[in-house]
Amino acid sequence: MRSRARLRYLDAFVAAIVVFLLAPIVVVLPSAFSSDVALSFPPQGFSTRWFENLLSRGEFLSAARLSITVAFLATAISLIVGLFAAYALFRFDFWGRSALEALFMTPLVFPAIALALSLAMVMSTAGLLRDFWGLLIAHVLITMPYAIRTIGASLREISVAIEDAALTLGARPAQLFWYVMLPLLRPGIAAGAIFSFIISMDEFTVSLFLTGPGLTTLPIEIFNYAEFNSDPTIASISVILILISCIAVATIERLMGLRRVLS
Amino acid sequence: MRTVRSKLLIALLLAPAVLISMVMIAAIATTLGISFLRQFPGDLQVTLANYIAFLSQPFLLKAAYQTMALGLVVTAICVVLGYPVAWFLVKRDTRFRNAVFLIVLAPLLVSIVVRTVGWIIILGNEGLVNALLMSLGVIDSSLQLMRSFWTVVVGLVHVLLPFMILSIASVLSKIDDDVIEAAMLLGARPATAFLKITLPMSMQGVAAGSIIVFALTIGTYLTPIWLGRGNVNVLAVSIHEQALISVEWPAAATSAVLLTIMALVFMAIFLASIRRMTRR
Amino acid sequence: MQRLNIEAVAAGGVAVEIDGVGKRYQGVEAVRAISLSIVPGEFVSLLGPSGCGKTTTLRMIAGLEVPDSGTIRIGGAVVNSTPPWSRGIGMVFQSYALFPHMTVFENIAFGLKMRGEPAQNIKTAVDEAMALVHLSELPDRLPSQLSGGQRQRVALARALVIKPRVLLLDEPLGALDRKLREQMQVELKLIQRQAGVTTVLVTHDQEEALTLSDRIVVMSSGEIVQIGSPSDIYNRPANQFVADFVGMSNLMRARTSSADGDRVSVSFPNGRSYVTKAEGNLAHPSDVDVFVRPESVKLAPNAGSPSGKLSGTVEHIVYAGASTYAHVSVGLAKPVVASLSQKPQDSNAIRIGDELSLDWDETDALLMPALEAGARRTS
Repeated sequence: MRSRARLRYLDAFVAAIVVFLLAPIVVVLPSAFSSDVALSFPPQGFSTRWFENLLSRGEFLSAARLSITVAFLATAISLIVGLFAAYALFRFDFWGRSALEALFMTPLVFPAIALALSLAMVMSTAGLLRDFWGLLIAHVLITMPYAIRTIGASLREISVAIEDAALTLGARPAQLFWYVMLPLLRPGIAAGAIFSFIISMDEFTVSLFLTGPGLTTLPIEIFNYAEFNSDPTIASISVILILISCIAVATIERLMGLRRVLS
Repeated sequence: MRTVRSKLLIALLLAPAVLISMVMIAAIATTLGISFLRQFPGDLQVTLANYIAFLSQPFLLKAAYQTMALGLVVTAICVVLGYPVAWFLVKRDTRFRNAVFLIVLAPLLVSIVVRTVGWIIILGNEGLVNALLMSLGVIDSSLQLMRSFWTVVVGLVHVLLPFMILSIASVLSKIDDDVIEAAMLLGARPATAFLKITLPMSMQGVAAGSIIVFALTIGTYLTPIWLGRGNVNVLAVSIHEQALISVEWPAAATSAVLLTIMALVFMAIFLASIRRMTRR
Repeated sequence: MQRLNIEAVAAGGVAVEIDGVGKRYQGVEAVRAISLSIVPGEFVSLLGPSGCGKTTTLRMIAGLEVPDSGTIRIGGAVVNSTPPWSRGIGMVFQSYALFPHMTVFENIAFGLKMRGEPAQNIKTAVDEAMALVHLSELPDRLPSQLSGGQRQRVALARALVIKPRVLLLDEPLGALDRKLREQMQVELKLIQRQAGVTTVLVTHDQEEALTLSDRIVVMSSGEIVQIGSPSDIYNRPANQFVADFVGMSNLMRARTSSADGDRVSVSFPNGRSYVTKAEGNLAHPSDVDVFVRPESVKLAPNAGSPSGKLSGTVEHIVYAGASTYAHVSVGLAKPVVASLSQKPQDSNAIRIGDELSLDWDETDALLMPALEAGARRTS
């Protein structure tokens, strides 16, 4: 049948896209274990020297520490702020609701370089350029949309009648939140946490403008290293980041489905 | 409960998020302001000089042109590649569907730095493609695959394709199969039903995806700098240079404002054409 | 049915008084200054089509909505500004609104836990409540593992176990299939009567309201159209809306002559007329609708000259299980519907095309002032 043949073409096309999407992530893995001094494919020999190089360099470790600290704090703040905002946005109808939702989502679609420069400029006028707190505020701004979205997706699946039921049964608002809403929102909050953490860990452009000597996040450190070196060290650190991403994807998928979080 | 004190409650719930968003608004306002200053910090005289300077520098105009071209090309390719994948994810009933969905979405959680490293390994002079072609005897010496406009396109399509697929898929999944079946019962062949029903109804997803992909493309710095290596000078690269290397903040702010305007104009054109299409 | 241990839920009812209560949403009046007094232990139904304001009224009693005007008293105290969690009411929702992350036991225990009851008391009360609704075997099930009827019982037990002063039911049986719904109606009524709890039911199902209620409040467009016992509502509907909404009815346009003492002549547009008792609050002459239930219409073979109040030809016969209806064309705007005797030989005696005369007892018919065209609701 002709339509079946057409579906074959479609399947083949999708398979090609899958290869295209996976290729640059997969090729990093063997390259990280190459004994060659240049980043090449196919890799020559087997060696863990680039991982050793990575660990011996203090700047990578301190950049990782800063990245994790910023990601952790930005995630915590985004979740709390996002929980409040999501509740207001998805439980009430008020004047300007959709405008506010659009405002909160703006960092997702604003050209990154323009946002980065703008944040650098406002931080500089506030004396927070190349400052930990300036960096943290920027990361909260960038991760907040993800927190609002994931928690919002979770919230929309909890019927308002469940809240009403709890209230009529004698639950005060704080009890309603603690005994009913929080347990029901837990998967959404967890998925939002992982998402925010990863987005913050991976953030590049804004961090490039807000960091500096003594205050460098991991992606920026990799960028700086690659400016002057072309050995497989960047592949080996990429492997570590890919592993973290894989764990994150698997966890979100189990918690509430990546698809639901994103669409 | 939902009406008593609810205005106050809503305000309190939204306050922290609004406060954080105010940082962004202040940032954008600051940039807009600085783009009209002769010098910052320092000479605070208001002037249009920066915009005039931008328009009189062929280097920057070329960067603007390249940025626009890059945005349009990447967006178009993402639509062409992304639409069939989105259709597959929504309508094709196979057991691989979930796996494909995961593979499409997963790159969103992998750092752009990592993904760009991957493309260097694939497209570099000692990379996968060259090694493959040489071992097949197609070429004798390495091809120069890097440092070109099209390398940057490949890298950006890889980064942004998931956004396009997601936004088309989310609209496609809202189209009821009954509508298409009804069209076919009324005599439309599958191809006609697709062209007359599915495609127009999914244009909203294409538009939303295009706006996101275009805006993110023209705002990306890493891909042009790493895969283009000086041969692809887009505005993102100019802004980085103006701001962090030559430290001319008013000039950088001007470029950023023009870049943002470019994204807004693109968005306006797309939204208007979609509105015209759906009003029909 | 087992003897109910009603002690578990009995708290005795209190009065609910609604006085001039109104509520508007974005300029639209959902409830227009309604007043209603419910006596302790009474079972009252708010009946009406969707959008008539019945659910809004119930939610205002629950404290989930705040009235824009008027006062609501529960047990004599004004509760307008009392939050829902301290009103001491039990509510059953149409969707049941069970907490999906809690077991049956935890769901029922929730209200007691919120009240800070000691664990032992909670255990005793919940066990009794589960026995009351026949769920004793399923304390550890999650709502997702229950059938619709079981969920409904959990919702009821959860609302009753807190010994509510008022029980509010928002279309509680709407999601059940017919058979289960009828069974639950019986149980609900039994539990309510024994517990003596004041109960307000919201429903659009007239049969449910007629079966369960001590009194029915018929609502339309945010206003109360009629308050009365089920038999009042059924037999003496206040107007065409109630007649139309509750049960099947014939409404025949006619014109009265000037009253002669307490007698008045009613003339149909087809030329037929008859004399009946004049309704007290009706001016004569005037346009009226004659209201008669199908079961009050008596049919007889038309022997020679037309007798009875109307006569006509059987247009079609509708078999509806328990009853059979004949649609008789009498030369008016709509055919008159008459229900046939239940005995098969009688039903079979009437065939399409038969010429019949129609009659009804004076006491079975009502004269209602005719509404302006378009003012009458066709719901």
